[in-house]
Amino acid sequence: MARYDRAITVFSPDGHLFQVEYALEAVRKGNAAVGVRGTDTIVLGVEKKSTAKLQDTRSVRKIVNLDDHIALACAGLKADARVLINRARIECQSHRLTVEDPVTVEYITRYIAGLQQKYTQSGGVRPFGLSTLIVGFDPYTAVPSLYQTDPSGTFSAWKANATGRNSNSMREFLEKNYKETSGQETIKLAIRALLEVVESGGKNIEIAVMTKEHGLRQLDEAEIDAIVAEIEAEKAAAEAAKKGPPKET
Amino acid sequence: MECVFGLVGDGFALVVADTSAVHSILVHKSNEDKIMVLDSHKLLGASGESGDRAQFTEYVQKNVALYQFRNGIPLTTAAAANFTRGELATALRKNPYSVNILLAGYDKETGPSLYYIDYIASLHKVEKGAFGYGSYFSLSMMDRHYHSGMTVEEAIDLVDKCIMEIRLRLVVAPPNFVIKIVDKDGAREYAWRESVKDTSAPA
Repeated sequence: MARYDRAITVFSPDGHLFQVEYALEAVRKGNAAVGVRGTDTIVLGVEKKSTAKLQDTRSVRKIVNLDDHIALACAGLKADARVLINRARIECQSHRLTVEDPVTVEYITRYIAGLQQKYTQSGGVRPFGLSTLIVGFDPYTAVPSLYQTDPSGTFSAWKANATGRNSNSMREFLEKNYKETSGQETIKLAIRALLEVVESGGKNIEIAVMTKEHGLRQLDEAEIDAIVAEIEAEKAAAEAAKKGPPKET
Repeated sequence: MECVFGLVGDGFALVVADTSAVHSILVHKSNEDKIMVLDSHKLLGASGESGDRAQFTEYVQKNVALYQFRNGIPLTTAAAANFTRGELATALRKNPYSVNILLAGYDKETGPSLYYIDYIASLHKVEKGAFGYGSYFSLSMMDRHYHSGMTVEEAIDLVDKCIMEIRLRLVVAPPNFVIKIVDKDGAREYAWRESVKDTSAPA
């Protein structure tokens, strides 16, 4: 079997890697995803595009476990995501086998980013068309972390970030409204960011909460609806307060 | 002189192993845990070459965990046993592992089960099984007293009879044993049977 040795991702005259930039376009078309880091809670949220009536929604899991203490959400080509997630899960177990310690969030992020970079510099392959949001608690130190990777293979840590559709609006919202939160407040912040770009309602949002004690917990529709209702009420109250007390005649 | 044996009772399975780590005539330690908790509802008792034992059982444990992450549900006991046997078989005619395994598990649909997997990759689903020189005594004892559907108390009584017989009749009998149980509530340590406690050096 002949080896594939012709590179597909090559430099343009002005120093761009167009394949990588096109991959980022694919990400921009993917569903919105947001991650918020609190002091003891980290929240991942993704937009659930309207599902086909006959589709079994449980088979479409957008926020997945990589290990007991690490979770991942992504935006972009879902098929590419499957491959990347599979490799990451193997690496998590392999790390535990060789050094008898669970991975740190930074380690597995570095691994995934490294994989994404490799596919921008290998023959016969195209880059992965997805950006990931990786969250988790480091073993032993219990420090919460949120990282993002993209098709170019770069990664960095964030207090809160968004990717996918309308990520700029969500990021702007987060920059304006971010503060150190914990528990329920962190969940609310993530949902509020998502609601900026997604149609309101529990059936359009998927939320998962990661805590040190309980690992990853997916919120069910009823819970999300309840929090959305709370947020709407708060918004309405803020609006009313802004309008000021009624003038005395 | 390693002794590992196990049996299936009413809604549970027990695995018992000696706890001495021996190298030729030297006893390295007498509190070595040879029964690995594979996942929430599985126990893997292993005896044989200590390097192979640790290496192989850890490898099986990590692969069982990987399956769970990939598929969202844990492996059944039968599937785990067949996977283990398959790995032993693949390595057999290249780089064989010298490990004998008793795999016990509890599945919600099928209840408790015990699998006998020896170092040349035989696999048998059994009600009672044993490995090592101790098996001459524990197997005979279980053949005499075992009946299906034993309660935990009856089973522990039988286990104690086996341990006493091993201590009485095996020339270099291991002093300490650990008993682990798996039932609908999960896999956990049940008890130790120590006749020699590890003493720390005098100050």
